[in-house]
Amino acid sequence: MKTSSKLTRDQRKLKTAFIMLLPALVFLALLIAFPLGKVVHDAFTHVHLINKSMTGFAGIENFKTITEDEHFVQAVKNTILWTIFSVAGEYLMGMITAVLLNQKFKGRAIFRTCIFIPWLVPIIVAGMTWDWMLNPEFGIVNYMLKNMGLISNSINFLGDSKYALATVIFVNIWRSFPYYTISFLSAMQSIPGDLAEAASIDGAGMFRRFFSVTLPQLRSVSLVILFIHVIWTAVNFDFIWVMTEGGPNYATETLPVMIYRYSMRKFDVGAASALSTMMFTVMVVLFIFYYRKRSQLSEDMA
Amino acid sequence: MKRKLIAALLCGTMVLSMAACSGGGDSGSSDGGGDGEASSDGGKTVELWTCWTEGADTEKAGTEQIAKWEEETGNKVNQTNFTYDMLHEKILTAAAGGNVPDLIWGLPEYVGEFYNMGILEDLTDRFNGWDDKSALSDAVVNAMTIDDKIVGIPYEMTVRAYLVHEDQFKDANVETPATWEDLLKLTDYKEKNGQYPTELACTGVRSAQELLVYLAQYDLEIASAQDGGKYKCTWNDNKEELENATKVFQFYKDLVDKGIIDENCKNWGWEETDENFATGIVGSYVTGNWLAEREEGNADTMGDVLVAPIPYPSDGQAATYMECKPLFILSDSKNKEEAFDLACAFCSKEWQEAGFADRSPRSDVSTESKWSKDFQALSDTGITFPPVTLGGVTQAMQDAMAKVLQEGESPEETAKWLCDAVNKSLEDSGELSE
Repeated sequence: MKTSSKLTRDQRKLKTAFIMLLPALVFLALLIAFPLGKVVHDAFTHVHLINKSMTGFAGIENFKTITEDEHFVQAVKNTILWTIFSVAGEYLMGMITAVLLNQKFKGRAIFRTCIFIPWLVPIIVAGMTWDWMLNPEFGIVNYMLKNMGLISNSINFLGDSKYALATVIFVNIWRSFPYYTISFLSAMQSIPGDLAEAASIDGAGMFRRFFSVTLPQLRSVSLVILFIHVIWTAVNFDFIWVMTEGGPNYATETLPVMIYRYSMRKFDVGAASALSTMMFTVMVVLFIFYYRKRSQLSEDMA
Repeated sequence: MKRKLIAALLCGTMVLSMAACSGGGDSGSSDGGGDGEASSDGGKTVELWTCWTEGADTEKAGTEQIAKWEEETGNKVNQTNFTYDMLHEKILTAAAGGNVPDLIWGLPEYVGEFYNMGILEDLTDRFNGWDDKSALSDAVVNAMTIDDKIVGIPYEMTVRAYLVHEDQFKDANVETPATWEDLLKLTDYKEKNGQYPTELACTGVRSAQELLVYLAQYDLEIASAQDGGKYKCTWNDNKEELENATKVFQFYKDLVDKGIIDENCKNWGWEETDENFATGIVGSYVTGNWLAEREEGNADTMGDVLVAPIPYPSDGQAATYMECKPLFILSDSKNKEEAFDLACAFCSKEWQEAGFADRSPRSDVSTESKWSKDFQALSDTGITFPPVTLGGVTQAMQDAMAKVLQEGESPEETAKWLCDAVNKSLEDSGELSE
């Protein structure tokens, strides 16, 4: 007698479910779990692409290498500043433009389309274009600022450590805020108009209506979009690399750039993996925080 | 039964997809992977990665010569073009994944690094059996050699020269500087001309190459060979060497402090510096003869270029950077013989005359132009990087420049720091002599 015939109906359902899920499980194991496990394993192992004598268990040696790096603290600070100011700026710009584009005016559809353009520009193109625009010798930004009499000497936006991080954050905001705009706009369109109307009848002004009616309705989309962008921005590598490569003199080096420096310039894969593991741990903590907040919000809304 | 069938089909599809992905290295895909696969007409397909300037003569000649080689041998070439930085990063990841091309263009800086990674094929026997080897000078062959093994076939050689916009200098009533002291006297050049007399690269590998030359002008090496075949930066063990290294960083500091170079140069790499010179934004620059390719595009500013030796300190000696670029065959290549044949074709007289006439490593290929003759006249003073892993070393050299030019660190402290940083990098890569 076949084994399957002995199974109960529930067991058979479970078996079928497992078989159906198997491809996805194999996929997850090979493409996500294995690389992740390898990084964690390498974090505690001596792995060097050049120095073949560096092998074996490293304990916390790789973590010490990272934390004792003279640029580590600066990179942590830069990552925090880069993430907070980028996300805050994007949120603010996205909210303002969404509110404006939610009003009825002539040509609204054209503006709604145009505002999405920076998001459509590939990062490499946006980075290189701004790089040239901000060039102190022949960049259009310095040319305009000088012609308007705002500055007398060119500012080296990306080459002066005083301005470099702020400049990269600004360009990142420019590129990313349309995503917020579109998300907020679609959420705003689902808010019943009679809520604002009722508030208006009760004497609420424009700002009161926004803060007491519109903003609370955007709580859910705000939480999702903020969380996603905190993660995306904190782990972002390409934008900073294209614009400054972490310079001048490490002024814009964030943790992902540091990971790259360790693995591709110093060839110390063990140390790079240790830093990756540290970043991954922080991201997991953030996710747990988000998950709890999200559950709490769902309960409140229910 | 139907559900089981669907599940089995899904699993099968999944396995096949995985197999297809992992088998990428054995296909003739354009994004890497040496293969042993025959081309449609029976020959092999050689995976070639190049770094030529798109649209320039080198590309045109290269494309024609590749087509000719394919016709003559019945093999195919699957060629992909990168920048050197892109190629360097891509080859590191490709090598880690065991999915490498057959033949790649390289820079001399990669020799030690790739050799230590164990990804280069030893070409000594093949090279010794090559008919055309006599066309290469000993200096060129030495540049391809590490641990007495030949690991590259040269495809381009040039030295750096001090290029001057002669008309600009004449207008400013200034002679071409021969020494550092002459250069440092040009303090009113910017005021008179509205442009800086010269410039420096402060990021990327060009900045390290420039610094290497200025150090060599005081007979300093960034890492010198020690007994036992390992290397060490010795400045901190030798008072005179440290004093000379200090003078080099003082020179950098003086160039900025005296307004000889733009202080904005601190984030410039070769892209900015070459562009600035080609478009006449600065009066002079230490660079290579590839700028000949800008004569057509920047005819109004490149017509007055004079080729001169790089200024050196009056208590030092002339030196320049010799860049002999190798073609590497990867040890995991499955088409080594075909790749070697293609590499030899690259270095053949016909191909060199077509694509590298002004900057050929062959002694029997040159032109009468200033880009060939005047540059070759400087090759006797050419120096190169030591054959060690250079990633950490060149990064330390850039950091040292940043310490002097941006952090206001004293030249002496910077020289000491750089020596320690270089030795730390050598220690990390297992190349430090204790």
